[in-house]
Amino acid sequence: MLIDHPLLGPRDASEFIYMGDAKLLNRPNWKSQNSKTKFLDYGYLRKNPAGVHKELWYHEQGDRSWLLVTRNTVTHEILKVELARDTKGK
Amino acid sequence: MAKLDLKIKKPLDGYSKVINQIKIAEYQFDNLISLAIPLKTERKCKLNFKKSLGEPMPNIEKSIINKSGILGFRIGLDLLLVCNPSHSSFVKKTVPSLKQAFYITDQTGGWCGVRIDGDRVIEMLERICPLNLSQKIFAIGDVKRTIMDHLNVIIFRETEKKFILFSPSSSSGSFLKSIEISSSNI
Amino acid sequence: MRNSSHPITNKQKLSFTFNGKKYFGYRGDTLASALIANNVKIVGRSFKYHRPRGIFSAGSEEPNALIELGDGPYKEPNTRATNIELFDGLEGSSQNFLGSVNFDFMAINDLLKNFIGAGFYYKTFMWPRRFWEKLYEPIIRRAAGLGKLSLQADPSQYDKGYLHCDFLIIGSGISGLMSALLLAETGGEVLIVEEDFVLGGRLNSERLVINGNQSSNWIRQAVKKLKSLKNVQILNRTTVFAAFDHGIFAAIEKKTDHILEKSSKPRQINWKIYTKLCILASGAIERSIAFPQNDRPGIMLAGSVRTYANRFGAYYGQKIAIYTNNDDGWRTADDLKNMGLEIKAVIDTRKGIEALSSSIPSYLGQTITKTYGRKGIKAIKLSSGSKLNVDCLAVSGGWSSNIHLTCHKRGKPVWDNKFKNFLSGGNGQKDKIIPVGAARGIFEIQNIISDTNRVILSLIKKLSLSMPNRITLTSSKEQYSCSLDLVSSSDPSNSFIDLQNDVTQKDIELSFKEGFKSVEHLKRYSTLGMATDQGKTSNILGLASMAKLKGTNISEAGTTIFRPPYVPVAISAFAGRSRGKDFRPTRLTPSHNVASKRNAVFVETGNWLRAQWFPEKGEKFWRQSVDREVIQTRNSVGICDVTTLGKIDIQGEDCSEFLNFVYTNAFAKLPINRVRYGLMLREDGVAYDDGTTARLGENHFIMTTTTANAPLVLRNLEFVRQCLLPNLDVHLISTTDSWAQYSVAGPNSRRLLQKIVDKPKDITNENFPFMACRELTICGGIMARLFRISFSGELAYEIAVPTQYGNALFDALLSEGQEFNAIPYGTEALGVMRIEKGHVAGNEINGQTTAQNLGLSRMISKKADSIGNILSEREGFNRSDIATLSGFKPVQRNQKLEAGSHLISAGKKPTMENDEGWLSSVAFSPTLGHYIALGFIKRGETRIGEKVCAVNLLQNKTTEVEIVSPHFIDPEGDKQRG
Repeated sequence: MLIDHPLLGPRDASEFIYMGDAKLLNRPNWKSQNSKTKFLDYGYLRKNPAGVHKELWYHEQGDRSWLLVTRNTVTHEILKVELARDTKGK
Repeated sequence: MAKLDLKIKKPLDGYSKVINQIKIAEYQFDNLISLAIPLKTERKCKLNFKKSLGEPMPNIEKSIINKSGILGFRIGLDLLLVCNPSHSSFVKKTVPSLKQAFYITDQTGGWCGVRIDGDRVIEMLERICPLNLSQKIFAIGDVKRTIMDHLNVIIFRETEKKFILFSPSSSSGSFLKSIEISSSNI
Repeated sequence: MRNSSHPITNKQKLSFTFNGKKYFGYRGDTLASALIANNVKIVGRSFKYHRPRGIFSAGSEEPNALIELGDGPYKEPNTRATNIELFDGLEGSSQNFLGSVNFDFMAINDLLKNFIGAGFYYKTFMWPRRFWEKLYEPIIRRAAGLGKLSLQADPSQYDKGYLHCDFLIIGSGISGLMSALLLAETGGEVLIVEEDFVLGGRLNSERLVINGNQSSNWIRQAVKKLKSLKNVQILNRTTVFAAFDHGIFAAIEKKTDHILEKSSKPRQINWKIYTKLCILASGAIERSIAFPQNDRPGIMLAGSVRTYANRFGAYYGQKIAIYTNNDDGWRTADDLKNMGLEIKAVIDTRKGIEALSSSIPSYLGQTITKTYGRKGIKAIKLSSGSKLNVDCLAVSGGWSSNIHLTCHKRGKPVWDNKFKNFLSGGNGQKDKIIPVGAARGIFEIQNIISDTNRVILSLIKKLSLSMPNRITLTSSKEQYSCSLDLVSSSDPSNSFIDLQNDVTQKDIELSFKEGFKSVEHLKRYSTLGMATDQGKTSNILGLASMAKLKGTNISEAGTTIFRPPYVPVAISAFAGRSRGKDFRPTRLTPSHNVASKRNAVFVETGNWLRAQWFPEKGEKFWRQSVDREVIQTRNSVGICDVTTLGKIDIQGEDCSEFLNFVYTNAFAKLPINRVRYGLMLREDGVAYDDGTTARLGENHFIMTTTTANAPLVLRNLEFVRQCLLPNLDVHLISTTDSWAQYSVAGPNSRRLLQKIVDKPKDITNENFPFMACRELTICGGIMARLFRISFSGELAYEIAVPTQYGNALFDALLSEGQEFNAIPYGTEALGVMRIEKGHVAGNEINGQTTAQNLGLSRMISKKADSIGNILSEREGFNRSDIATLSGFKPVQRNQKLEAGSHLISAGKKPTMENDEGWLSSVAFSPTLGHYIALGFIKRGETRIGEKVCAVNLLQNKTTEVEIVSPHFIDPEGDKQRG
């Protein structure tokens, strides 16, 4: 597969590392109520939809950016690729 | 104390060989440093880069070469590499000047350069390099980072058929072998 | 038999052997065409019943003619004779027989056919279970094997490569060449891939006229034009065998397979092709008809009989009958008749049609009910009762578009009832494969020409590229129509559907009867289409048969889809050059040369090669070397290369905040020129990695990680930097390869270092105490970093210099250290000393232990957020009876301990319920003179002095051990602080 890196253009998947559901971007506040439960959800409950999925890819053999990739897990079509640091908080 | 003289050992001991008309030679340099752009200081860094090296700071995947032969590669949004082949004032003048804007990390010993040059270079690279080498995509002066034969490689296009490949020094022996096999396999 | 006036006979004569016998052929032959020309009838035995089989097709769809090619270690099984380009000196042989291919002892299976139908293995060999491994499986494997491997390492080289293009054109028949000519004019990069060694595809097999000339003239012109264009690349002998996401294809190029001389060049290249668009001009594959005894040698696909005659001048027989359900069978009859061969009959299954050729005896609306001739067809019997003597029967069940590759991308085929053919159903992705010509279900040449023009020109228009002119070609006119008469109604157990897997009409009926009715179940139960040819010539027959049984039609019954690879691909081609020692890269440490000269024994740790120990004269056993290295280091000074530890340069105004977050303990207040030990957790609270981090400046830290985790830690730190704390000013650079780092340990380490550190730097205990660090120069101006840290528990330092000086520094330390008897030590001694000291390493931080287990819970600062902080509070991690790090020694001091042993209280049975912990690291301590271990045991810190059993159930060994402090030597740390 190819990932269309927002800065570098289409690059082969072999340059990337996959880290799954982009939910990992939203780390709970450690001071919040029920923080333990929230962290358990954060760590263990991942989405695995058949369809459009937001996921994290790391361009380890490239510019070392973490990317937020919107991908259809059924057709494998990649709909959007963003730098994770730009999307933080969205 | 007896004065000890620590001799420099280059990763490939100055290797040079021609295989299938492709000249393969260790690309030796005196210094290689990385420049990291501190958060939200791109403007300041651009000015400093121009002042320190006499060339504008390149965009991502682009390079500059200044009149002293010093190369500058932008390999990330906030990261550059500067390679000094042999200019004598680099450590005493250029580095302290760059330090006023950038975070500097010395990586001279970390990377091994190999220059490949010859008519069949593209054919040879097709055996290890997943990148599109068409000049429409990969122009002269472009620099990209990718994976070749399991290794992280920074590839810089000097001319249509001349490249410098930088790979980690600890595995430079394996990488050289990859280049040799690729050259003899075409 | 060879037509002696065919142009191929003017080519170079080649000699080859088949099953040990010598034959001649010509350059331009395939092995199959040369065998046919030499009247070789039987080329193999069938998979299950060992029936004699002959060549059936002329392409990669071949089910029968599977050949072992080459000899000795070069031998390659399961190649298709129809794909093998003949070369001088070729050696081929049949496979899957005992005895000789003409008299196969395993043919007894043929007589047992009624007992070993579909599902036979599933039903029969279930019981008794233990018989499976010892008895049934070996017998079945022997009988049902395809080709055999040489069992020797393949000395050939294989390689991989990457190609990029705008338009990948698969196939070089008329539609492929036309597409290439049109697309090349847009200026885009065009790559044409052709499986055959000649270009032209099906045109080479036909006697078609294009622009008033033989079609070969047009091919020559087209190819000449394409070769002159800079933006066109042509790869022949190359098969695209898989289609992947986003326009990526895999293709195997046979580089030197057709050359006898064992070349130094790779035999095959496995290309990964990236393209913006793919034009699928892969043509069509003819299918068979199932009728009684339809697998005899001499029964061949009609189009292939035509190919052999037209392209190679090779005739299987001279009294030929054609059995067809479509118009194309008649073309074979015409072509062969024109060459002067005797056409005994055209038997067309279709009722109510008119004979397409008046000069050929025809039998319309009839079927073949029987054939004769076990080792080569002799006669056929028709439904009318007539018997005809023939020596070749050409069969055509119609043509199937070759849409293998669109299936790889889950394009579900759709049925075209006009031509009784499955068409590409496309797929949900943007990067569509665009079929043209016969692959698009267009079968008549004049329509292929106009349709290819239309498809490609509209594509170019859609892409807004510069419009070329349409290609005007005049051609012969063809007509094609087809019926679905594919399955016979009599003698189902002898009507073969899938020749390669020996699936008969009866097997389909059995599947139906036993409830395996869906096409997917049918496939798995009967093995229809599961052989190496994936049923290219047979699937439609099976589907038609099942549809008939179910009383429905093919479009409703549906179809299974093809999978990669399109043709079998050797495993070696996937390995490429990553074999043996080249399986992965090797990383060498800066001291590697010096260590090699000192005869070090190396060990692989990840990609690194590290010196494990340095044997000296007279040392015969590894422990002798390791014990000496430990003792000498503890007595004087030893030097060890620790470059492999991950080093990360961290700079930025917010470094300390960043470090506070990634480590459990605080770093903000670490003074400049000081080092601190840090522990990292995973977010789930489990211990992840540890190491020391030094502060070189207000905004500059050097982190070290364990060797194994170095890339992973950097990845995670980048995640924190970019994804969790993007507003911090922090930069991370891996400098593992940039600095050579050596541990200098032992009571004389300071005196040794004082000899090389440039004055006036003072490294006395007062000015450079334990956990100090400093940037300084050594040996007259070489930049260096000195850390006073100790893994061994001795007075110790780590000294780092830029890698290019590493080789010289290691030498210098040893030569300057001669007066102290300084020695190099390896990873074994390093390990022994850290166990003696009670430092944890990968065996303890193994992804299953927590800070609490490691006795490091105090290190989790609750003043600030950090990774894993919250979940480390989990109840289960904080129970009072968790296993904690402890030391162990054998009660009988001469006894050996083994890592992995489990700890059981004295007198209890070694069961899961009684398990209280385990030994993680074991070493013989030369310092103490007996074995010692680190490990984990419930409430360890409260049980010092207690005796428990270390049980090794694998070796059935139980050793009594005493629980002690994990710090076997110098528990107060006086040595390292001295």
